[in-house]
Amino acid sequence: MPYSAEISRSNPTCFVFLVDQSASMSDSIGGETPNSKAAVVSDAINRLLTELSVKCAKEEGVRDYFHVAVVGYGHNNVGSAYGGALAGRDLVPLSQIAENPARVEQRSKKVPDGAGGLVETTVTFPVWMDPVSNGGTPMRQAIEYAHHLVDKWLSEHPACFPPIVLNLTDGEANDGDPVVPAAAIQSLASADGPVLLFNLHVSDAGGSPVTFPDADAGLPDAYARTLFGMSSALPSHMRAYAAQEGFTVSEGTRGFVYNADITSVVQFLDIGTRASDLR
Amino acid sequence: MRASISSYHLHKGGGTEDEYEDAFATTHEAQVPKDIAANGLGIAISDGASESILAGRWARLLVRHFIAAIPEVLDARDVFAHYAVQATERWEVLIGEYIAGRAAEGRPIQWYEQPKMDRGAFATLLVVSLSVTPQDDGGSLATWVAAGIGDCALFHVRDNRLITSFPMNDPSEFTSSPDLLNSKNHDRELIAERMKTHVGILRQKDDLYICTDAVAAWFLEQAERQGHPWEILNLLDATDGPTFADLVDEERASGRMRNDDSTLIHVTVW
Repeated sequence: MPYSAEISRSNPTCFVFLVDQSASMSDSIGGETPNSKAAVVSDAINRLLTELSVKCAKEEGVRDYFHVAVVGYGHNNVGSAYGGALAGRDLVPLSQIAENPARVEQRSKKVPDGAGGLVETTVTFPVWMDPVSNGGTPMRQAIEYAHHLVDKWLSEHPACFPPIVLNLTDGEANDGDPVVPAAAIQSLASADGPVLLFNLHVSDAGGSPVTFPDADAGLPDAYARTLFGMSSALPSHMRAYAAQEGFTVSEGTRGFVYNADITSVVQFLDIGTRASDLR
Repeated sequence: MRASISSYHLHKGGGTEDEYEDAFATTHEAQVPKDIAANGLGIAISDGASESILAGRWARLLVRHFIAAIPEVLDARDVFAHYAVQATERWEVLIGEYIAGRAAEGRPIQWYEQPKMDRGAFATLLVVSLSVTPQDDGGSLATWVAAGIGDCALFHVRDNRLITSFPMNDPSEFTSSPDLLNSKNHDRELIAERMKTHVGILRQKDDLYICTDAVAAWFLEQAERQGHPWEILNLLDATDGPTFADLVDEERASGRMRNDDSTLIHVTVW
């Protein structure tokens, strides 16, 4: 059965995050607390890296179940978007990511107070990358860059759980049709199945946030529909976890999110017995 | 009626021995035949959830705590739940010492550990007691009683047949989200409600196999294919038989057994 390979230190897999850093990302996404698209995606990356680190944390440190690259594209360039000590690096073992955020911020966050209300608290927020927005949108080049990283990874880890490429963008590619390289990267495979390409679309086009849809009918524009069409279907066990998290799923459910949180994708990955409360 | 216990364990492949996060305890030494009629016999087995932090320590505390309370811990659901909550109180003391120790070593709790520390440690638990009760007719009745939370399992074999499988009957029931005891769960009612119990009658020449989930799922899969996995496990007791590590390594390599911490306790009754 595909997508059933163990994810372990002896059989790790990789994540490649592609981050749109083009000029259009400086536009606000709208909503109650207007935020630039660039800030939304950098927060998403920092949260994803935090979630992955916590998921793989044990008392002796973070285990290298994953190697992760954060690739920025924009400013006429495609390359590592890590800041701090990891600057310039592509795939980095997760333990090194956890030990080397560029800085650790304290942010305020509203959490349930247990009595139906909300109370403000301070949370630790590690930061590996800051918002950047300038230049064009070489998405095609970025996917080709990921293709190169994943291809090399697969040659060294042929039996791994299939790598996951997650593209975070407003979808306005200007170096050609991204659909072709997207199909090419999904044609790469380990012995456990084809590479997964997921997309987080941030947009100021309005409409309701959409998480893991199975059709493009409700999406607001052509960019969203293109990104939906480029996204892999969620493997069955991921669909099951998505359903447990309250999302409506079908066999056509894709790894695509529109103006919503995609951090839950980390929880779709099995690294052992889950720590879930008795219900 | 007498019984003897053999115990086996192996850490997950690709890890190290000190990363083993199952735990087990018995009321009597392994390999020493014991008269059950005198004081009974008890076993506790636990599997720390790999995604939680300090899971092995929590599993070890649970088995030590429950083995000391056999047989009364199996008297009623609320007694079991009481002991489970009592274990969380002992854990609070232990965790306080652990955090202080880490700080003293110059290795304070890191940001990536803190969310898991806040959620507490998680583990499954199965407690089994064997006893002999005098009957009105002058005879006696030997029984086993089992209670637990999660997917540690007990298999009862008689006359070369699997007569009881507890709490799972089907290998597909083993998932990565079993019921778990959480070191911060003080909800006695919920634990009493979610725990599973079973009683079986013991006869001479019966065998009980008590194990954590990877071995249990393998056992049920082999049995489902009309196999007799207990015949393979019985060879572990033979001087010229395979070691547990040999067996588990082979089954893992073939894909028949999941790569996970593996623990087996074999009770032979005669």
